[in-house]
Amino acid sequence: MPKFEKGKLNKSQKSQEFNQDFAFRSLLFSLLLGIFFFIISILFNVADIFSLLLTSEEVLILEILNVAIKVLASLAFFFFMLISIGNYKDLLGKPANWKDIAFLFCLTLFQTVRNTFAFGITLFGLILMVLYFYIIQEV
Amino acid sequence: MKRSNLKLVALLLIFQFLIMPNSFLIYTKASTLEINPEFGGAPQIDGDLSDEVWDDAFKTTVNLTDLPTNLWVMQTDTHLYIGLSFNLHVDVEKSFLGIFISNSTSQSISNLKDAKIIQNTNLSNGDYEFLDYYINNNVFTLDSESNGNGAEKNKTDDWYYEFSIPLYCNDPEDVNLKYDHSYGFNITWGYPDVYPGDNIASAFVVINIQTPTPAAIDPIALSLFIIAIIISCITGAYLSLYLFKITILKKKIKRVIR
Repeated sequence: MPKFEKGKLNKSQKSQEFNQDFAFRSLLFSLLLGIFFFIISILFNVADIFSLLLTSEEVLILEILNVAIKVLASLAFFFFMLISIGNYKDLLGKPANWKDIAFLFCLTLFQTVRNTFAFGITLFGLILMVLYFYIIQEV
Repeated sequence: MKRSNLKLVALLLIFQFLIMPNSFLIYTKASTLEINPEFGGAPQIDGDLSDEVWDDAFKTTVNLTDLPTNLWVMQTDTHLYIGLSFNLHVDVEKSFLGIFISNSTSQSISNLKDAKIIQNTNLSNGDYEFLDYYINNNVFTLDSESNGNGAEKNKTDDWYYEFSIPLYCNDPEDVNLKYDHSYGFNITWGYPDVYPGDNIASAFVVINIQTPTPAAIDPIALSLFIIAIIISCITGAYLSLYLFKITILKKKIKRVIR
């Protein structure tokens, strides 16, 4: 009987270890992607390198591309950081709370503050993303 | 009157007649129009002066001899733009409108060094070409490299011209127009395609090239830029703290597994 119990414990321990390892790798990989998109976001949103590359003539397609890069970099940063924080909190044994999400939300949104269009679209995208995560969590 | 006195009076009169025309010219010469161009956007050089960009131009009227002409002058950091329009019935095939640029404010023909010319090649088809000439003692030589641009538009008897002339052009065949310097511009209409031309109407103006004023800093844009920098710094600090927490967590996990 004790032998059987010992074997059962080892199996669950191994499974827990595997889950922890997987969660940690996911956390780290998401964090690295988050940092990558944060750097892209700084370059395009804060330093505005795209405008430096543009000539004085305003070309609509290039303007759209500029805003698209800004928005996508910010949203990708939020997405991967949210996954990373979620996994981190999961490893600690407690779920990510509203304060964490709100803080990350503000950090992401205010990166795009220099461009009105990028700010507006990012706000819309962030709300959609938060709603999506909230709904799949409830389901 | 004595014969010698008579000779003296005659000499004095001859001397007076020799001096008179020059002094007459000096005192009756019309004062040269000086233009301080306004700063604006770069117009498209297509002969269309209805472009909104021209709203910012310095606008005046000059007489090309006796032809009333609207003259618009505008400047950017890199170019001087000149717009001209007049009403004239032209029935000669090869008319031209040229801007002859002096390297000083002098009207003297020896100071004219550069010519930007729009030459009509076929009046009926509305064909024209922009030509850049170098002037040396009234001898016109086509530039090896053309700088600037010009265009013409004609609606019945209304003629519209647009010129762009680069500033700080280091080509030795062009006048190097610099900020805070004044240059004479001889605007000449004539025909046929020989310069400066025998049948011409012209006007001389002085254009003072302006130094661009640095663009005023928008306080809202500056505030937003500062906010973006602060947020980026906070995010960077947050990511560093988070990375530090993760390394601690990794150590904890390893300890628990052991």
